[in-house]
Amino acid sequence: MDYALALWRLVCLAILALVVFPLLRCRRPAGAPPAPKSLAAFSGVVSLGFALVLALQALWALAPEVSSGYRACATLDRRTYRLRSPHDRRALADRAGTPLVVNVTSEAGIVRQHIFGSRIAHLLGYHHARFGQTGAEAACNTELSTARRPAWAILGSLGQPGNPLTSPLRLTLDTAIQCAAAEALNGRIGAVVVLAPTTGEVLALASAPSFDPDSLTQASFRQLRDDARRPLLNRALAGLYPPGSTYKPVTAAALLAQGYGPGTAVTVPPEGYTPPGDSQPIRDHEASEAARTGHAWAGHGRLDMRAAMAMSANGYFAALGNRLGGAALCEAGRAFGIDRPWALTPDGWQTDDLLARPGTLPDPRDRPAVVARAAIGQGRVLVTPLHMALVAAAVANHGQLMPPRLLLEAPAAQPLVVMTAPIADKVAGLMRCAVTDPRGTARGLRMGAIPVAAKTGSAENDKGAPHAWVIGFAPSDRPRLAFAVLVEHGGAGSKAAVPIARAVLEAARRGGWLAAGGTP
Amino acid sequence: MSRPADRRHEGRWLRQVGWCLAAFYVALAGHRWLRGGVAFDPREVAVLGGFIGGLHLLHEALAATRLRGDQAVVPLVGLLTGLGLLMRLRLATPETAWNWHEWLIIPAALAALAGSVWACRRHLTTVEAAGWLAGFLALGLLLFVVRHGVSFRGATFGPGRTTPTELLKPLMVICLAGFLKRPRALWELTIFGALFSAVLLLLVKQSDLGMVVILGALTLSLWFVSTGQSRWLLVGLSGAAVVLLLLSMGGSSLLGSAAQRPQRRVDAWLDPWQDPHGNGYQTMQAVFAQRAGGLDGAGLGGGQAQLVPLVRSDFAWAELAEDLGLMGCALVLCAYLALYRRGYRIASLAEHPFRQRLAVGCVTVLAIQTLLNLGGVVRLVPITGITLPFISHGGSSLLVSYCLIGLLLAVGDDLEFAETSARPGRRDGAALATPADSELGAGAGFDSACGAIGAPGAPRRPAGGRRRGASGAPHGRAD
Repeated sequence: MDYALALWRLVCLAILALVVFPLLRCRRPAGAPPAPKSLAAFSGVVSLGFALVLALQALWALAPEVSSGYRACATLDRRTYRLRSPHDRRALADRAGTPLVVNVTSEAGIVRQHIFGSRIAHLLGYHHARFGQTGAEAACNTELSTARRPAWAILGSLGQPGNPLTSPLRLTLDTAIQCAAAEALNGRIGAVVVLAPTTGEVLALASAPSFDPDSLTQASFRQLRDDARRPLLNRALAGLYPPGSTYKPVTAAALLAQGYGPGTAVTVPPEGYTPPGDSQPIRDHEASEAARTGHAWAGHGRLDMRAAMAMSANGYFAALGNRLGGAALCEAGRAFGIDRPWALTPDGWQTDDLLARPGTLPDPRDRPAVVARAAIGQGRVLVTPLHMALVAAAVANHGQLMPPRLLLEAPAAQPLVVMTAPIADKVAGLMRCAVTDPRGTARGLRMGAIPVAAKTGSAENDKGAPHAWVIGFAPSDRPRLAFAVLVEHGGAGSKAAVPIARAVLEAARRGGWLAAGGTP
Repeated sequence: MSRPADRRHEGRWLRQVGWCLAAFYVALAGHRWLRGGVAFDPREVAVLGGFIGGLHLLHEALAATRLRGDQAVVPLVGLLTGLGLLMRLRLATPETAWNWHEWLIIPAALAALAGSVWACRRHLTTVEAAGWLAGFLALGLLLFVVRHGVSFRGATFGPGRTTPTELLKPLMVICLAGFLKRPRALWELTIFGALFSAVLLLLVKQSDLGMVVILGALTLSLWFVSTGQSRWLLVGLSGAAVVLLLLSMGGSSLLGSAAQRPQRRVDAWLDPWQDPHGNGYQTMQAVFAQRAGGLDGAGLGGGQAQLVPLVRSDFAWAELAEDLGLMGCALVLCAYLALYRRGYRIASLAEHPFRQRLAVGCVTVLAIQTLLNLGGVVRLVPITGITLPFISHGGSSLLVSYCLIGLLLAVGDDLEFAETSARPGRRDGAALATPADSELGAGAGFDSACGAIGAPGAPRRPAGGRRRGASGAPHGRAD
């Protein structure tokens, strides 16, 4: 029926053209005197007016996006929300083709149903006549909306197996990893991002607390909106946090680029490192622990970079970061794309959704006290979990940062060269130390035959307990996925974030991601 | 021969229009069937069939009374009106009650066309003499509306939600066409000036700005026709530009509260996105409808143009844009253009200055209306609240448009339009050249005839200068 109507649409236009065009010819009868000039002008003016009307209508019909006002108001078009047939909006599916969002007919009409409910709520978003669109539903609206397609596109799809226009839009998500991440976060406040470092594909992106996108009502929406835990916020993209010690790989990359080596040794005294011109020392968590429990702590002593990374020695990186200077640190942060508003959609898509908030970096001219704190991911440095997952992915991918992407069919973007491959491999080695070293903070991620490289963080903040972080990638010799886990006010990264990362990695192993073979 | 042969083309084109409308109705039925509704409603078939039948009846009547002149006008008007009817049928929902007397407007409009042709074709000199009467009738009508009118949505309506001010269009056309001949005595000018300003003032008082614009453009174009001086057009255009510029710069404070409504419309025209839920809502929805239509449209009945406010009347074009798309709209624009070009051709062939002015006036009113309405929908000009001729839902407007077309046909009555000779390509096509076809063109197109007139040039492209010199009384030739 669709095909018949599309064909008939063209037939009607053709008949109209056949009727109108012969009548358009209107010559003066032979032998008549030429029309007075004044009268000839009228036809010209009317034709000109019609031409202007048609030109302007062509603009609105074919390319209204050139108007910034239209772009701002495009979501107000109620046609978007009025699904009149199950074919009016494409379904969403994961990388294996498992449906994620489908259209179902209910008594309220045709509505979108999220198969995995609150487990993939933030990334997929909702598409609701009253509450609008968020997430992928909003960012990919043009791709998803098939209600209006040209007749020739409909006719062209005739006879093809699986109508390409109504087939689901495939995302890069891996549902098993995503569900594992969402379940591991259950009850916490935090976010998990899992990327494929070699392609930039987003395998999982979870934020907690979550919500059920299918049961939105006015009352429940108001409750969600006013909830102090902000369940509607996609923390993986829109939450800015101090990265804490997970920022040390960035600092290490800057140090290695400036000629420092993994063997560079610095003495870290028990009272911590006090930047010049500052009264407050930067101390290590062991010192705070000792002060809290009343034990004595003799300090780390003389450390090289491997041990400092493994034990997350603040004094080491603060001192060297200060020696490095604000400009070089800032440059390294910028190279990792910390200050970029990463979009999960391809370049050139005009969308405000699925856009990571740009992180912040210290000013190159900041005081040594600020620079030293920035070197350990405190103070001026603020990032989203996606940014930190990209840091891990860049290290894993030998210094080449693949921009994140969510659409399976989207063309791969150009990689960004963050650092040279030898430096990246050295940083990767340092991160591996944090897992293998007996005193390593990430030793909770030892997973038997699968080598994992990681870095934990416990980011201090003035709102409460430190944010627990862990970033990393696996397998460390041939990375297949990179991850970042954040637990808001979770305390120590090794205690709160590492178990979540482990659950995610276990799910990935079950899915065949970490095996020696290819992509599952 | 019982049936006059010289309106054959009209009959043929009317049949084509009928098939075209039927094809569109099938599309509408298909879309409704797809959505689970009743595909073919016999009442709708009756309305459409009745309209097409009425057109053929009109054609037979015109042919029987041996009306000559342009044969494409009635088919074009029929096509546009038929599309308007389809749009109205398409917007009807199961809830809206079927209102039979609403459709009485169709026979009434056809009768108005036939009636005005019948009344005026032999009596155009009387019409010319009635110029003054028409002017005072217009003034009286306006006074009546001001006194007894009902205000609704910013416009003033007569009893029964009719718009008697629509009648101003033919009345003022006749009045201006009759008056604007030179020389005129000073007292005549004075009285006419007073009459005209009174009409304009009353219209401004009712804030019927669309009509003010139409009357202004009509006056200027008739003035232009009668004097041949193009500066009057420039004066009119620059005046409109100054008013628009004043309003776009927020000049309503200078003009007081009377300018608030136009000010809001200018604001919505310049930036509808500023106030998407209020002032700019309608314009924005019209843009969405055009966007939804795209290049080939959703098919008649496939769109959702009911989301646009006032889509039945002022914004009918938004519905066409969504259902027929850009291509369909271009074709409908071509139909309008063909109609108006033929109208101006009638005017330019009419040798009598009054007839010329009358025809120009009729066509210009319709053309200005079309341009202002379409311009408002596509954001070329601010919304003026003027209906789209023939397509918009609006009884008074449709009746008056048909009257104007009737006047136009009456002016064209004694003119010969050899439809075949106007298309030399058609005669070459052997398949279509029936013997009857060439019979009409014989007077003007054939070589022998050309030779007889005295222009021994190339038969199909007569040498302009010599022909002009040779044909002293071109129109008498065909008789």
